[in-house]
Amino acid sequence: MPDNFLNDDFKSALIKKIAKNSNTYNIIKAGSKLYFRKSPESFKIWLDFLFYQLKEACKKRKPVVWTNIYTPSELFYALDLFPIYPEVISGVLASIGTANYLIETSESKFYTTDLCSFYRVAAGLVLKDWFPKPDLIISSSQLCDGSTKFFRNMSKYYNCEYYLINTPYYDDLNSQKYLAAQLEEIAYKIGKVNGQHLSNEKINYFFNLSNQTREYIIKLNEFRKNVPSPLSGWDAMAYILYMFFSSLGAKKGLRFYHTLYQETEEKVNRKIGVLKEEKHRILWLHQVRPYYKNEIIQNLKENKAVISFEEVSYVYWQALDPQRPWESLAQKMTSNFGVGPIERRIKTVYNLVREYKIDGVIHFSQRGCRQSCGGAYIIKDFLQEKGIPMLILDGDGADSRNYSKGQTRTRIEAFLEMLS
Amino acid sequence: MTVAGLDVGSLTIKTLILEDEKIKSFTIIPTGADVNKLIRDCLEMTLKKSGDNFKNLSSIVATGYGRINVPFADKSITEITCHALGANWLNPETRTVIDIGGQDSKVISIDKNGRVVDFIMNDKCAAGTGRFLEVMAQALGVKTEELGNESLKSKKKITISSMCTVFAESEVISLVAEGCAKEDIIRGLHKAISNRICSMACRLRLENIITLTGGVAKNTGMVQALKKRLKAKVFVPEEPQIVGALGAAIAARKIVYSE
Repeated sequence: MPDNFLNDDFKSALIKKIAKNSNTYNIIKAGSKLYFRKSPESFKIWLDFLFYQLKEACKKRKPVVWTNIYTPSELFYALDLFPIYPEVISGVLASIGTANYLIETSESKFYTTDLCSFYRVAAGLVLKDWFPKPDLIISSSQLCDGSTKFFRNMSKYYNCEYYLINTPYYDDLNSQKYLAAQLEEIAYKIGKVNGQHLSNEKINYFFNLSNQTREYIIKLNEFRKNVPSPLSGWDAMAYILYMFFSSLGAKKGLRFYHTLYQETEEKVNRKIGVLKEEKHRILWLHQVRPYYKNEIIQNLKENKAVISFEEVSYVYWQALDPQRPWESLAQKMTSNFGVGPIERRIKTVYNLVREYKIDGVIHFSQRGCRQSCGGAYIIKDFLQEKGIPMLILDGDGADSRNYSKGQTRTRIEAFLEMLS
Repeated sequence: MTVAGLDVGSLTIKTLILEDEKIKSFTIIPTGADVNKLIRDCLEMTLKKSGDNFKNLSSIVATGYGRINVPFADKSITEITCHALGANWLNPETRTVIDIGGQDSKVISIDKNGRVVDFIMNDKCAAGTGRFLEVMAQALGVKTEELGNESLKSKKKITISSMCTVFAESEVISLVAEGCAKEDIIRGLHKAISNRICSMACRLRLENIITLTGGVAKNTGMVQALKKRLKAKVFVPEEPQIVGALGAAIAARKIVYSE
C-alpha cells in the first residue's frame, strides 16, 4: 500500500463532495468571470454554459441524459432532458491536467489502454464517483463504436435505461427511414416516462433555435476563409467545439455563435489575423486535437503556420424541418460526411482545401478513433496527387503519456519545412 | 566560406565543417548528460581538426533531436530536411533516404534538388532504431559495432517475432538459452528490423536510388538485410552517420548565400 494511500483517499472523497455540489459551480463561475474578465465575450458565454450544465447535472431539476457528440442535441432540448457529454468533459479535464489520474484509475479497474482515452477519463470519473449520475443514456453508433460499449457498461453500472441509435453506413432514403423510426420510438418512450409531450410548438421552437445557430456557424465559417485567418482552429477545437456539439437547440448556443460571429466579423473588417505573419494555412483533420499540455500550437506559431480550418467545424447538414422532425434529424445524422464510404470525406476535405486556401493538411490520428485513422492514407494519396501535402500525426487526445514533445515537434517542423 | 553543421542526436553528437565544396573535418561523440558542454566540445574538436576557429564560421545550423539546445546556432532545421540535403549532396541521384538513427527511423522522399517531397517516421516506440540494436547487442554480450560482421557469419535462419524492445530482448535471451548461435540471432534481428523499415518505407513511393543514412547504416549485416528486402539500388555513404550534420552545413551555406 502506498504511503499516501489515506491521503489520496481523503482527497478523492473531498473532490467528490465538491464536484457533486451544485454550489461549487456557482463559485467557480464567479471566480472564472473575474479571472477571464479580459477574454472575448464568446469565451465567457461558453464558461457560463459549461458551469450551468455542470450545476444543473448536480441539481437534477430535469432528467440528466448522458450522450455522445454526434447524437443531435436538439432531441434532448425538445424532450426537456439535460444532455451531458462525458467525452467532451474529458477533454476539459485533460486541458486542466486531471485526465491522467482518472485514466490510471480506469486502467486499474480493467479498462484497457486500447479504449479511447476520452472514455478512459470518463470511466475514471465514474469510478471515483466525481460526477453526477445519469438518469438515462442515449448514444449513437455514429463514427464511434467504443462509446456505445462504454455507455452500455455505464447503463449497467448505474442501472439506468440505455437507448442506442444505430446509424446506418449509407446515406439513402432507407437509412433515413430506419433512423427516423428509431428517433421517434425513443422520443415516445422517454415522453411516457417523463411526461413530456413533444408538441409541434416545442419542435418548432427548438428546431428554429438550432437553425438560427446553424446560420451563424455557416457565416462564421465563411469569415474563416479570409486571409489572414481571423480565428484559430486550435480554439475552434476547444471551447467552440464544445458548443458545436452540445448547444444546438439551446438559447445559449445561439447567443454564443451570434457573439462569436460578431467578434470574428470585427477581426475580418480590421484585418486582424491569428498571426502577425501568416505563412502556411493548415487544415486540421479529425474531430479532436490533444487537450493536455502540449507544444503543437507553439510549434505551428513559431513557423508562422495557422490552423485556418478544421473539418469538424464544417456544417454538413441541411436546416431542420419542423414539419418532418424525425426524418429531418435522421437526415442530419446520415449526411455526416465522416460516415459511409471514404470518398464522401475526401470530397469534403478537398473542397475545404480549396475554399480555405490551404497549403497543407494535418491529419491527427487519435489512437482511440479507429474510424478516422483507417482512411488517413487514402486521403493522403488523393491530396498528394492534387499537390497538397499531408502529414499524418499519430497521437492521443486525452492521454498525455502517448505524447512525445520532441518527436511531435520534429514531425510538424519537417512538414512545415517541406511546405516552405 | 566556412560553415558548420551540428547534428545533436539521442545517442551521438555529430559536427562537421564544410568549406565551399569540401568536407574539411567532422567529429562524432556519444551524447551525455551535459549536452550543452558536449556540443561545444564536439564543435571545438572539429574546428581543431580543420584548423579553423569559431569566429571564422560564416554560419552554423543545428539539427537532430537536440537542435533547440544549441544557442549559438543561426538556425535549427529538422533532421528530415538535413538528411535530404546531405544525401542529395553525396549522391544527386538519391530519391529516397532511409535514416535509421538512435531513437527513430525515417523514410524520406526527395526530388532532384534535395527537397523533401514526403516523409514518414516510426511510431513512438524504439523498434527499428539504433537503440533497439544496442539493447540486443547488450543482451547478446556483443559490441554494437560488431553486430554487422557477426551476422555475416550466420548459416541458419532464425525468425525474431517481437519488435517491442522489451519483448525482443527476452526472446533473444530465450534463444541464447536454447543454444542458438549468436550470429544467427543477430541476422534474425536484422531481418526483423529491415522488415519493419521496409513496410514503413513502402507507404511512400520508393524510388531509386535509396541512400541509407544514420549510424545503423554502418552495420553491414543490417545493410545487407535491407538490400535484400528492398530489391532496389542502395547507396551507402562512406560515413553515413554524418549525413545529417552535412545537410545542416549545406543549409548553413544557403543561409549565407541568401543574406
